[in-house]
Amino acid sequence: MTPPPDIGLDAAQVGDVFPFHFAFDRDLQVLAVGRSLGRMLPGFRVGQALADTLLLYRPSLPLEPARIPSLHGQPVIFRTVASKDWLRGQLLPLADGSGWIFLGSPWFTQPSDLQRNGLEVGDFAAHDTVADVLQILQAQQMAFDDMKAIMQKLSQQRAESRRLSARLSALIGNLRGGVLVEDPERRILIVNQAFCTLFGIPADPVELVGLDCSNSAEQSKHLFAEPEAFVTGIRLALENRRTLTGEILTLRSGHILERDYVPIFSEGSYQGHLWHYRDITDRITAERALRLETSRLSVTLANIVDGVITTDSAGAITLLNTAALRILGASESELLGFPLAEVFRLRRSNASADGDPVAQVLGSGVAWETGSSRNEWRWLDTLDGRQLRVVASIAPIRGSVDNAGLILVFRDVSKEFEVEELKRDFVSAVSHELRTPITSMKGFLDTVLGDPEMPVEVRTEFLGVVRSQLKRLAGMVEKILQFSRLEAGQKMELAAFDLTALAGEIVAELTPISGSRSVAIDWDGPNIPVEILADREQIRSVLVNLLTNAIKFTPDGGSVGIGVREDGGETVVAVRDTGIGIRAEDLPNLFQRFYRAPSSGQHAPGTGLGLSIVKEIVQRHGGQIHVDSRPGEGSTFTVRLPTRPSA
Amino acid sequence: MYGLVNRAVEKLVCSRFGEPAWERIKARAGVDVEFFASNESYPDSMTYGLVAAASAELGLPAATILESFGEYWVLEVAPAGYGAMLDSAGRTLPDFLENLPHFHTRVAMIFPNLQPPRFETSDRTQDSLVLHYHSNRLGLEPFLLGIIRGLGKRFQVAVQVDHIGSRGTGSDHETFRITWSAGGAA
Repeated sequence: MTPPPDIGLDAAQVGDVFPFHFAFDRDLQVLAVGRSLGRMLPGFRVGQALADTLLLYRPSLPLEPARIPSLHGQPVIFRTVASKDWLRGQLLPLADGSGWIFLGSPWFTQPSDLQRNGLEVGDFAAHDTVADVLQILQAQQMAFDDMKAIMQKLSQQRAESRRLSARLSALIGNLRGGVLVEDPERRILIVNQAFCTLFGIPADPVELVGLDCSNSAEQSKHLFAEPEAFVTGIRLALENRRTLTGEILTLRSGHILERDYVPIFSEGSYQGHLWHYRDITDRITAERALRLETSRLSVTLANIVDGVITTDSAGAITLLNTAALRILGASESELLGFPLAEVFRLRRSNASADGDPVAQVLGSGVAWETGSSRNEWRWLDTLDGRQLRVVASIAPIRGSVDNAGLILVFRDVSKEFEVEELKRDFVSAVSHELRTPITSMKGFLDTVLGDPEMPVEVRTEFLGVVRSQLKRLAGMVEKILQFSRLEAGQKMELAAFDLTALAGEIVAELTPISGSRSVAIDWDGPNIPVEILADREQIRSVLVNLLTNAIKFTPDGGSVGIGVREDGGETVVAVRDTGIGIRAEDLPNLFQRFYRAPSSGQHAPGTGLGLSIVKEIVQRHGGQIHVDSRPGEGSTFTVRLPTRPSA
Repeated sequence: MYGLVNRAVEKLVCSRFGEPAWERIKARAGVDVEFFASNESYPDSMTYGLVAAASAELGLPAATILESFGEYWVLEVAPAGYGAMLDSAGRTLPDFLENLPHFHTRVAMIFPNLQPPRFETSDRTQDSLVLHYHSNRLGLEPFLLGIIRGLGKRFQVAVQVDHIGSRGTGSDHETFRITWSAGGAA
C-alpha cells in the first residue's frame, strides 16, 4: 500500500478542511476550536475543560486523560452536554505530543438540526457528506409528504366515491322505474325493488348483487306478449353496446313497459350497462284519453260559430278554429305564431280605440270582454279588408304556470245587428203603415156611428173607404205572413203551368187599379204560351209584387209593361215602368228585408217586404232577379227562371 | 423537469384562479397527470405546455406567468418543500446565491435523472455579484428573474437585476448582474 503523499496542510488549511475540529491537552483542557464548531458551540473556548461541553458517548467510557490513548484508531462520538448533539470523527495525537486533535463533524439526522445549531450548509467542508445526507433526507421527506398527499387524495376520492355510491344506490332504490346495473360479465351490481316487482322476483334487491344475469332473459320472457322479441332485443342491445331509449314492450298482463339500455364506458373501456324499465300503462292510457279529448275539442271548436283563438304566454297565436279563420279572413298558416294583438284590433263604434285588450290580459291576468249584450259590439277590421261588428271576451289560461297564455272567444254580430236594425225599422214602419188605415177606418166609423141622420149615399161612401182600408190592411198582413212562411222554409208545390197565361190573369186583375190612375199596362213581346215548372202561387206573388210596385211608383198617365219569353233554358219575365226610378245608391239594398228607399215613402205606403219576398222566391226556384233603373225615367225588373228547376 | 416544479405551477394556478381553471389548463395542454411526484422527472415539454396553456387560458403573457411563478416558488413552494434546508442555504442574499452552485451540484448527484441548471457566481462586490446561468432549456429566464425578485423579498433587500449577457447575443449562457441594497424589497 502506497503511503499518502505529504500534502503539507498548515493549521489554516486543517481548519478549512475540518471546520468542526477541536484539540485538547493531556489535562483535557481545550487548546483549539474549529471555525464552524465555534459557531455551533459558542461557549466552547480555548482553556476550558473539555468535559464542561462534551461527553464521550462512544466508546462509552469516562472522559479521563488516561483513557484517551486507547481511543486512537477508533470511531469516536462525543455528545454535547447542553444540546445532546453528536460529533463523530476520530482522535489523532498532536505531532508534538502535547495532546490530541479531534477530526470530524456533527452528525445530524434532520435538516432542522442545522438551523437549531446556528449552522448553514456553507459551514461544512465541501467533502463532508452531512449536507448531502440532509439533502437526501429532505428529498425523502418530500417523497413522504407526496405519499401522504396522495393517500389523503385517495382517501378523499374513496370517501367521495362511497358517498356517490350511497347516493346512487339511494336514488336508484327510490326510482319508480325498475333499474338493473350489470358488470361486463352480466353480474348484478345494483338492482332496485321496482325492478324486482316488475319482474316478479321475490327477493331483497341487496341479496341479488353479484348474481349472474346471463340467462335472465330466458327466465323472464314468459312475462312478455312477444317472448322471443324480448330475448332478441336484449341480445342485440348487449352486442351493439349503443344507448337505446324508449323501447316499448307489452306484457302478457296487458301492461306496457318502456325500456332504456345504457352501456357504461369509462375512459373508453366498457364497464357494464344499465337497464331501466318503466311501467307506462297509465301514461299511455292517459295519452289516449288526452288524444280523444283533444279530438273532441277540435271537433267542437271546428263546429261552433264563435271564433276561438289561443295564444302562448307571449301572446303568439297557437290555435284557431274554423270560425276564427272565417271571421278574420285569413288562413291558419298565415296566423299561427303571429302576435294576436296585431290581428285583433278593436275600435269602439264612436271610433275611439279600445286600448290593447290582449296586452292588458297578458299583463294583468284579469279577463276582459266587450260586454255581454250584442249592443256592446266593437268594430273589427279583418285581414281581407272587411269591417265587422264583433263581441269578444279574452281570458287568461291558468295552467301549471301563472301565465300560460290566453283564450279569445269572439262572434261576428254584424248580421244579427243588421237584422235587429231592420226589425226595428220594420216594427216602426209596420206600426206606422198599420196605424194609417186603422186611424182612417176609426175616423170614418166614428163619423158614421156618431151621425144616425147621415145620408145613405154618404154613409155608403164612408163604409167603402173603410172596406178599402181593411183590404189594404189585409194585404199588409198577408205579406207579413207570406214573408214569415218563406222565412220558415215553406215547401214549394211545383207544377207545370203557362206563365204567359198567369201573367195575363194578373194584368187583368190589376187593370182596374191601374186604370183608376190612368196608368196603362202594356204587353211587351209575343203573347205565346211559355210553360214552366214552378210553384204557381209563389210565381203569382212575384208577378203581383212587381206589377203592383210598378203601378204604385208610376205617376198618373205613365205606363207599365210586362213581357214573358224563353231564352235558352230559361224563362225571362221583364216588368218595366215609367215611374220615379231608383237612385243608384239605393239599388244594393233594394232586395233587403224591410228596406224602403228613402224616396219611396212619399209615393206609397209599404212594409219593405215585397221585393225581398220576390228575391227569396226567385232564388228558391234557382233563378235570378236584376233591376235597371234611372231616377225620373223608370225601372225594369228582369226575372230569369230555369224552365225546369233542379230538385 | 422536476415534478415539484409542475406541482408548483398547479398550486399557483389553483390558489389564484381556482381548481377549474387548472383543469382547463391541463386539458388544453393535453396533460393527464392527476398528481405530480415531487422528485420525479417529467418531460420538459409538459411544463412548457402547461405554461403555454395557462397563458392562453388566463390571457397573460407566458413571461409574466413565469416571473410570477419564480416569486411564488421562492416565497411559497420552496419553504414548504425544502423547509429547513432552504433556511440553511445562506444567511444573506449573496451567501444564498453563492450556495446555489453547491445546491444544484448535490441535486444532480442525488437525482441523476434530473438535469438541473448549473450556476456560477463571479465579480462579487459589497453590493453586487454576477450570476451565470447555464441550462439546456430555453425561455426560462423570466422564471429565474422571478426567483431573484422573490429572494430579495425573502432577505428583505432591494434587488436590481440586469440581464447583461444571453444566448441570443452570442454567449453560451445567460448572465445577470444582481445588485442589492438594504431597505426592503424592491
